[in-house]
Amino acid sequence: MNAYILSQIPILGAFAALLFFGAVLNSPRERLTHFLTIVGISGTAILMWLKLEVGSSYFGEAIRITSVGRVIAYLGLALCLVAVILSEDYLDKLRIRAVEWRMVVLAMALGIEHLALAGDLATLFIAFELVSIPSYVLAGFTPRDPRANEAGMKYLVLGTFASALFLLGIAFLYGATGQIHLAAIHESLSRSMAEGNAANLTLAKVSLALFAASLFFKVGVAPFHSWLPEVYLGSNYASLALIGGPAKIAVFGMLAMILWGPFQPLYETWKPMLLVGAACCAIIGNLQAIAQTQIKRLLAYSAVVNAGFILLALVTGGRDAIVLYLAAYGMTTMGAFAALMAFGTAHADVDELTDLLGLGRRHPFLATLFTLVLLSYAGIPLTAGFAAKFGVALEFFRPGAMFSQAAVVVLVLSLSTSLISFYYYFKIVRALWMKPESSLDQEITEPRNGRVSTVFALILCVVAVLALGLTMQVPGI
Amino acid sequence: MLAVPSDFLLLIVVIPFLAMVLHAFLPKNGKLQARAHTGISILWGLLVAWVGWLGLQMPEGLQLQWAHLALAGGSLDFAPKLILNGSNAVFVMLLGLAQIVVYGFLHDKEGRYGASYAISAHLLAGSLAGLFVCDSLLLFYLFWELALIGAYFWIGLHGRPSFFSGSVYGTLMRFVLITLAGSLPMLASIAAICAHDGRDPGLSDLASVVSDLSPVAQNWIFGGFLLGIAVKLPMLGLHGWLRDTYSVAAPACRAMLSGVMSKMGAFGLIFILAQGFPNQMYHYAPYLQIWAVLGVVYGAAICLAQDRLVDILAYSSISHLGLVALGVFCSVKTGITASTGYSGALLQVFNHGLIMAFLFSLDARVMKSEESPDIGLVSGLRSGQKRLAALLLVGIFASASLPGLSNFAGEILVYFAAFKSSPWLTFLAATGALIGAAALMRAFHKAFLGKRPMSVKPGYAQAGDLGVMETTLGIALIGLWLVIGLYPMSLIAPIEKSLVAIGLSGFGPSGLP
Repeated sequence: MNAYILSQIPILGAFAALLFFGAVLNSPRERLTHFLTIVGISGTAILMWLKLEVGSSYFGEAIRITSVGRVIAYLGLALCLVAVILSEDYLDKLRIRAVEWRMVVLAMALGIEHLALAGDLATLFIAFELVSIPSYVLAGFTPRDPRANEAGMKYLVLGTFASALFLLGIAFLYGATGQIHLAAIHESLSRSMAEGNAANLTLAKVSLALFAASLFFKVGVAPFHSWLPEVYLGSNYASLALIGGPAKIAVFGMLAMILWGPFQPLYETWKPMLLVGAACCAIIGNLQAIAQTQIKRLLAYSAVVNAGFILLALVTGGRDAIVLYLAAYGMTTMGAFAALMAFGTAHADVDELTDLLGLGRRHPFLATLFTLVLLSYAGIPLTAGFAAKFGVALEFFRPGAMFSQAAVVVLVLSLSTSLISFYYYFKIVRALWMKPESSLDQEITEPRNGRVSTVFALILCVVAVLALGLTMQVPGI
Repeated sequence: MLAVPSDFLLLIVVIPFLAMVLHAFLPKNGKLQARAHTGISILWGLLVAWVGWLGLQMPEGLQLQWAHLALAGGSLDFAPKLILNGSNAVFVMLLGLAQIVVYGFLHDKEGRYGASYAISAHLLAGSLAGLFVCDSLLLFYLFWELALIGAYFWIGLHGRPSFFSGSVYGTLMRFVLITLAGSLPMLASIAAICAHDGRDPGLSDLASVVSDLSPVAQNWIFGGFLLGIAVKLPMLGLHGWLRDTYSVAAPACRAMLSGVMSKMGAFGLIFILAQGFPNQMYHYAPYLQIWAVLGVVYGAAICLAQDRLVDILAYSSISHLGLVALGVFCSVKTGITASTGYSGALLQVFNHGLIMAFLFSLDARVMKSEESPDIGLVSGLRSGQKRLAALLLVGIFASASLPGLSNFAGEILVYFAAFKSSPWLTFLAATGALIGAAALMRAFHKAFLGKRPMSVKPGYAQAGDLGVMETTLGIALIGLWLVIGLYPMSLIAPIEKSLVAIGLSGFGPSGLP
């Protein structure tokens, strides 16, 4: 059997089984569906490891296995798996139909994996939609919460617009090159560059702008980020773990693959776009994050800031730096969501910073783990966050890299504005550990939710964060 | 003489981190935690001081190197390395002795603080130990930041708001942000150095990598390091965090911050800037000297306007550390007599650290509330605390560089070096030091001498006098100062030897007049 089809059987099988359970049985066993989801995702990951070799392609290059693509696909699947594990108890608490939630997650995992493996424009678009549409559903998955409805609707409307831009980008690119295979597009654009074919290049540049607008929106690069805090705020934590973790990582991975793949001849055109985006992220993201008191909004702005660093990594083109940043950011983010889920009470989620008051005293172990995650966000040595930022800086200063002054200025700007980020990450640390200075701030004394699966996922993330911080590289690349 | 196996270097770094784990698992009994903390800290301090002392005696020094690791996808060759030689042994010895002094005077008898206090204190101590013995830029940055995290939690969890400095958290955040504003440019410099050579050259090999870079790059990288180090020291203008942070920090924390943590800056000054950037130091020395002297004068002058002993000590610290910086900056300029300034600076590091640890500890023992005595509100304290007053007075004499005590030896070496460079600056610096000494004497005079007031204001109840053990510890420390003061060569000789070994002595930068 075709090795690629074989590798997809577990995830598709799990999807079919859940569909059956959901549609036929009225009250499917939660544990069984949970187990099936885990088996589906990890089965596909294992089969990909065993069967798919770097350099191979399937269905006339519709699927192409590259070394970076494979690592990003693994990373996406691993993050999905973590999200599934950590939300088991949380879904019980929300009292939503978990079987449907898991089906959506499986569909999304399929899209995430294919974003990194797509070899032509059609597969790319299908994968993109396969990630996007489940994201809209996930954002509004808590029907009783009006904020979730608003988030889902906003995300859907704006997201559809982004998808349309993406599609238009594909159309222009096809117009410019007459090709749909990414490798062929690269060749064609290189030729146009060499020949100075202005008409084709203009079309390709328009296409590049459309792609960039669409993807910048999708990953929340400033100034395309205004939807992000709203969607974060409205989504429940389980859905957020998917929207903010694996989905974002996969889209970034795809951005890396198309910029350094088909669009590589236009490097000089897209580099300034990325640099401007990175500078905007550093300034706008950090400044807006300062005043936040709601933790989800704060994390949303922190996502904007990190998006800026990822863009810088993309500019350098350092494979290791890009993958390391994606892995570090993914694991840190999942760790943060896991900790916040663990800190929710039986009836409510952690919403405001003040909800975390006194937890250092009452749950020192969980609070320590969360603090490590926050230190990773802040980029303290020994954590993944530090390794990632240091990796980007290393790429910039590498002899022979010859970055323009503007690029180095943006790097220094990003590094120095991360001083601001210390302020808001340490605000969370403060809420966890230190006594409130105002008597108006009362601790919540209700017991917290931290149950085995969430705490296990949190430990997993923290171990990954420390391992990445120590080795400064992602295994397998 | 006993030879120390080089594994001891690892041991002194690791023990505090293991102690952190121990405290996390000890029962939540305050007294037990406090006893364990004091015991471990003092024993570890003894070990560290002993290793430092032996390191001082070993001309070839100690080295502990691990296998090369390929980080960041093989693009960064990193070989973790710890070293101990005559020059960094001074820092190590200071750390050990400061621990003994601080916890000898400030043990938490009632067990008020609990595990978090011990954990953050150990984190700070372990990071300082790591920083002083590491020979790797990545490790240096790691310990630099970990020390900050330790201080953050120590102050944040156990600091007390002060009428004079406002809230703990506001002050703490200012401290953290100002420090980080210095260390982030330093990180960029470290990244640039590591990227250039594809390896972490460590502190000892920094100069060779730097000399390969273009002059513009060298200047930028030098600037990044200088900023990080100058904030930590702190140099004038970057000292905005100092007074309030000392004011809100718990007494032991304050003593460790001023006694040892500020020496991280001095360490960077000597082993990164002087050792790694001889050309930049040479080029910018005149400006840096002026900057240092302004700090000396400013710190001392502002002491005169302070009412609380703790604030006077804090500002006098700026002044004294300005002298350390002056010693280093002068050495670069003076060529053949270079070693005088460096050894003076190193000796000052040791003296100032111990004296500050001692004075800050005693300061917290005066009042029951551990608040610092306000010289406008108290007087005649000596009648209730004769031993404390006597020890404090000698401490102040030591800080004022009375001949015969150790500080004098260090300070005079710095002046010798500075005189070669600029007599005017030396004059200014000496005047500054004199003013600082006067401010401290004045504070002692007002608070401890004179009559006791008839009624004591609430919150100003005086604590009991020092016990026998504490007095003995104080006398032993004074004995040490006397030994060094009367026979300074006991420290200077090994320091000079190691300075020659690391190439910081006797010669100006290569290729320069």
